[in-house]
Amino acid sequence: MQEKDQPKIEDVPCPDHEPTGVEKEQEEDGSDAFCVLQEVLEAATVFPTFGKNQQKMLLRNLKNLPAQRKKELTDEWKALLDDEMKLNIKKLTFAAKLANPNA
Amino acid sequence: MATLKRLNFSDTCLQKSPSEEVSTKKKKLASPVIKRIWNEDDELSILKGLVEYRVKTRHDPSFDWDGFFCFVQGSIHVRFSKEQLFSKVRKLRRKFVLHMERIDRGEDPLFTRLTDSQAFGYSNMIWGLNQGEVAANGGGTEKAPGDTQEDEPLDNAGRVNDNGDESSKLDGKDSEFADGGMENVMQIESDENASREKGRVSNDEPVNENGAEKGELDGKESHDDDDDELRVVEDAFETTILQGLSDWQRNLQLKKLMMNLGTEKRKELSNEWKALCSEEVKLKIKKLRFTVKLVEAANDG
Repeated sequence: MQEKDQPKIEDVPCPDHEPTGVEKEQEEDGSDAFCVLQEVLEAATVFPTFGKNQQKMLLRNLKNLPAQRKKELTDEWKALLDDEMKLNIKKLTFAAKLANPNA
Repeated sequence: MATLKRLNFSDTCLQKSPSEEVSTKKKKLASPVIKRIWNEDDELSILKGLVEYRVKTRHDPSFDWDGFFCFVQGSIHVRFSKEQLFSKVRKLRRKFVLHMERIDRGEDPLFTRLTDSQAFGYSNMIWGLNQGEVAANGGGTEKAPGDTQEDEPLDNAGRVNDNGDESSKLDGKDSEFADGGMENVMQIESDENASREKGRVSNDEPVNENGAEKGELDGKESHDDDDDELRVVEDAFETTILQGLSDWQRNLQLKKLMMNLGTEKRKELSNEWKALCSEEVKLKIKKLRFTVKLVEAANDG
């Protein structure tokens, strides 16, 4: 009776194997992007007006967006936050000038 | 003894004739002790009453003091005459003016009692003018009948003679309200201003359709610009610096700022603040657009 070629143990991929460095980075980026966008979406004025099911559906759809699209949206939001920070700095500078107009 | 001294002081202020002094002395002998009829809560009740009565009568310029007397009687549980009430109102107003003068000098108002700050708040609603101009104008627009600068003496320290509520009786001073005719001094605006608002001018000068005198138009635009700049700078100052300060501190700081600012500097700051506000609005619009885009993406996905 011929022995069937059984695969060696080390050849079998472990179901919960550690992802490679690149995979890890992409995954982290994806979850980070989703967290940022989820925060923005939940803070939106219109969001609380939706029903619970609709809210869940929107968040699920957001999670399932392609990574590239998520990255675009996140970058755009971060740029807006940068602008806001710059504006706040300008305001503080103006406040200092106003507090001491003769300086 | 202190009370007698105080009465003597008020006598010299009032400068009575010898015949009046005789009757005064008799009255003093009859009731040597000044009886205090108002307590702190009563003072607050009077001020609250004034505020409420003004609201009730919809800030009617012809303030009905008789009506107010009846109105306030319900909230104060001691017996008092109209004369005593009006005397108290005058004293409260004088006290408020003194506080405002202190604030104008950059000092803290002296609140010695727990209710003083509350009383000051109510007084400010009644007699306060914009940006602490009360002291400059001798108080607000509303006074008790017969309220003149000399009618209530101050004690030696310059404070209101607060426990001499019935001193006018003891002094034998004739009541200002004996004839019952109480002059109306609660005008909110002068007649001239009121008539201008309706598009009429007291001396029948030619008037444009919008109610402005023809002679007024020259230089009016620049005046409006100045006002606008002033308001913008005030707004900027309040938004950026004055957060968390009390009202009187705000007024003080604003006054100082306006004194230190030249016209050029004010214009420059005004333009800069307008630009910042405009930038902020644009940023908010961008954020809203982004939110819309995000909701659409989630909905389509």
